[in-house]
Amino acid sequence: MTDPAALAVARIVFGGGFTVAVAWALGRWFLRWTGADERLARGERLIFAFGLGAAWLSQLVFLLSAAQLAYAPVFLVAGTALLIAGARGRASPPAPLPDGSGLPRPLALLLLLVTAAYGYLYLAHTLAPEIGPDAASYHLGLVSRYLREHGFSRLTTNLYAALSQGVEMLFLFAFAFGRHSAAKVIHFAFLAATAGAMVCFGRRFGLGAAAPLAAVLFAVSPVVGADAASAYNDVALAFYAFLTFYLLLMWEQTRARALRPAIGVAAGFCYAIKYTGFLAVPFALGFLIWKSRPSPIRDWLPTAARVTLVAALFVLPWMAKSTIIFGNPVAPFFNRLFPNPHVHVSWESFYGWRMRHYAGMGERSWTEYLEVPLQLTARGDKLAGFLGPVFLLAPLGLAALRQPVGRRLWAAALIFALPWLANHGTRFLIPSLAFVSLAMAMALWRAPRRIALALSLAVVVGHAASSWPSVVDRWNRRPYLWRLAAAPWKAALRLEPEAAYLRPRLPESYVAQMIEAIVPPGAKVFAPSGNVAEAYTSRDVLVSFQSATGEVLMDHLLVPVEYGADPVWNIRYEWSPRELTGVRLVQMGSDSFQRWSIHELVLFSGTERLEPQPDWLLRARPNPWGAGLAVDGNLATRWRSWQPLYPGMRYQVDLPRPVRLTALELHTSADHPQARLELEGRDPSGRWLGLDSRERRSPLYPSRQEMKRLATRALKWQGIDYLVTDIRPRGGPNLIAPDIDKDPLAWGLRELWFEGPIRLYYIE
Amino acid sequence: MRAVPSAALSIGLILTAGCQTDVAVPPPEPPPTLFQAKEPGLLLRMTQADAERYLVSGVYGLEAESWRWTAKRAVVRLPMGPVAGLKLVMKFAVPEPVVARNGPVRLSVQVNDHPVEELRYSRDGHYDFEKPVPAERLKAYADNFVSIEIDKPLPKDVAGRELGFILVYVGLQPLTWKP
Repeated sequence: MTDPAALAVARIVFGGGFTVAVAWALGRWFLRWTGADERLARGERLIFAFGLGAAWLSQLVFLLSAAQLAYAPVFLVAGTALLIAGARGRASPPAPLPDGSGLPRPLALLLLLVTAAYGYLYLAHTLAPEIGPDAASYHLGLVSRYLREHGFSRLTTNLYAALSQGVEMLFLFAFAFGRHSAAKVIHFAFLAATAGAMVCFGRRFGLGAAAPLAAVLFAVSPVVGADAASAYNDVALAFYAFLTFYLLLMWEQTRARALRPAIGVAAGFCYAIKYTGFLAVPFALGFLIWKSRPSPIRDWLPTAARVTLVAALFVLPWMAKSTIIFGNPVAPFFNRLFPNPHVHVSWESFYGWRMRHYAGMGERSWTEYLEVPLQLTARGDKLAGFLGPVFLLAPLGLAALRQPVGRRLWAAALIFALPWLANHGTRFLIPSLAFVSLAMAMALWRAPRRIALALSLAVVVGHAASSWPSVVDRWNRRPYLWRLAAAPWKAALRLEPEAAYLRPRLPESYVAQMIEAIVPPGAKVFAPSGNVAEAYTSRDVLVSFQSATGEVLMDHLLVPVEYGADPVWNIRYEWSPRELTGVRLVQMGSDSFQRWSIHELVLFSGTERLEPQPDWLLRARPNPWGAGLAVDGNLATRWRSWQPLYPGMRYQVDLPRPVRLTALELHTSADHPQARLELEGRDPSGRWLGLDSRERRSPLYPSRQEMKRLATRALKWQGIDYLVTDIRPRGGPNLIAPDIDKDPLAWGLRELWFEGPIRLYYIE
Repeated sequence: MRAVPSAALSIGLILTAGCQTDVAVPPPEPPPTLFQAKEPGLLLRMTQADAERYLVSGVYGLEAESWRWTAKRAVVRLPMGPVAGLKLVMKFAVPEPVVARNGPVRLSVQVNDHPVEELRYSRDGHYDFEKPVPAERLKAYADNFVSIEIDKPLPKDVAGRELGFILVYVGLQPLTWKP
């Protein structure tokens, strides 16, 4: 191992190890402070301390980032202090737990063997450079940016920055020392913690051999492995969902008040990890209240209130951040309820639809969903990963319903599977999978012991063998299958250069490296189809589908090439001269798809065309923030409603003083024929009156050549200097790429670099 | 338990803070210059509020609310629409201390690295300059760069500034344009 390679690995191990250690120390202190540690056994203390401490460490990193103090030295000093403070003092004797003698020796040996084999596989992938697509684009892209900028910035052009990022805060702490792979170590630690927690749970609640079996079923699942060995957050969410459940059942068993803060931390942090984790809070409260029956309200309200308040500590900061930056506490969702300039309502509708129709599944007929069980368990090419064929046996786990713990496990499994209805990606079932695995294993061990042992051995061998990368190669050769390849130890130990490992596995990283080399610092790059691994560049990359800004930039570029988007109509309204202080167009048509738009709006006083003045005010409903695009003098830009047509949409120009107006011209496209416009004017007394106008419609013949120039000029005006395109014909954002590729100069672009289908242009 | 209403209030405030129901925006700045039906041309006044975004290098801060000192070489960026029939226009001053110290000075004017004129001044004073620029030397719908260089600037002042001449406005305007 060369010195630089050894140093790189040492940094990764230190970054990951230091973060885990600080989290543990913080959690140890918290458990002792709340008195919960007296209730815990040795293994539970270790796992709970790591989990609860990681949640608090995440909060600390959040505060440091909000205070623009996200520096490696700050993390080092704070972490060392916490480590010393948390590790000091003698712990009380651990609570006893039944031993694990229920595990038959052959099964124990097999589980150890499988754990060692998969540990070898997962550890190599964890230490190797990050190739997970979401991790390399936004999970670590944002982390890298926060470290560069020493905290949060008003980043409104990446809607992933609006999401809660509790685990990303831990990634940030580790990334500061060991970069990408150190962050991955943190997520992998959550897999180990989840498996450990399942084993401890089994011992505490008397599940015998079922718990270690379930832990292996869960951990060996191909989608869990791929997720855990990347800087994603689904396995972390699975851990905290399970920890919440674990603590709730302990509280049910002991009624210990000392457990209440820990329940609040675990449930609240589920939201901090991922919005879909919000279910943990109502689940916890519902459970507490349900198990408190028939006590009067004064008995259970304090418990519920305390749990809620502690949970709120982990929920409200993220809501506040989102409100301050995006104007929406739950951005990028619920934009109708919280209208804001940064995310369009149409994006939300489209995103929701797309997440329910991975690879077009269910678009044509609901019967396509009949494939879902096989997709989730064995095929995985359409739903981005598979759980493993063994989970086709999940319905057998219903036999666990005969036991109280089994009923609770299934209730949790169903609750934490609910988000899958909104996003059909297989990984959205990971939080539920831990519960399902336990229920399956419990059901299996309801059989007579010898039969249960034989079945367990068969299930473990079958699951572990069928999930091993080289075996998967033999039975599932579908393309676009998200799963781990063979253990990349050379890359993990940096004996293979990072760039050489990344390039064939994550071409977007190479694009990012080229951008880093060519584009000067501070410049902005527009990459419509998002083919840049942002975690590997420090340049500011905007993607068409990641913000309202990106969608608007994309619209500028599509206007010259997309059928129906170009301004082909000049609609002129003329009326008898009137003194007016404002005019507005009210749209009265309805349509489920068409969106209203105005490329240019021009007012006339006789023959004089009125130039927009700085003291005019433009109002629009919806999307008032884009109103300026209709008076910017650029035919390639347009104000759009970014919502389907509904009666009452309006576009309004307020004039500061009465002006004698005689006509209004609209330059608009033909893509919203269902729009019905009514014209109103405001007289000097402030009353809005219908204008008795004559409408004259004449065709515009905008020069395509000029429109292309205007489109890229619009990008330039908005601070975009570089454009990345992908000429693979996939439609959508790539629609412009072939046209640009044929004649970049026509667009005012200069090609700087190309590789395969990717082009990088400078906007002249 | 008193914390519960406070928490509810906090949540309420956060939830309502995001609601923006009546938003009005002014027309975009910089003022529109790109629409094909508009008069071509762009005049960059040193006094205009957004002047900084067009200054590339060698132009200092606004003084007396009307002009700016330049360094030895001043470069400005003029984003243009159509470029046919334009002339380079400039109002500037050769300050007395420059001539008093250095004698006659020479100003070289370039557009997009093409020489436009060499101006010689042996006396201080305010000057107007204009000269037609062939369209082929300009870039339509793109940034055009104008540079003006004085051969003998003043030595650096106490603030470390090298002072060349005084700029009031510069632009590319239609041939019919008058100051």
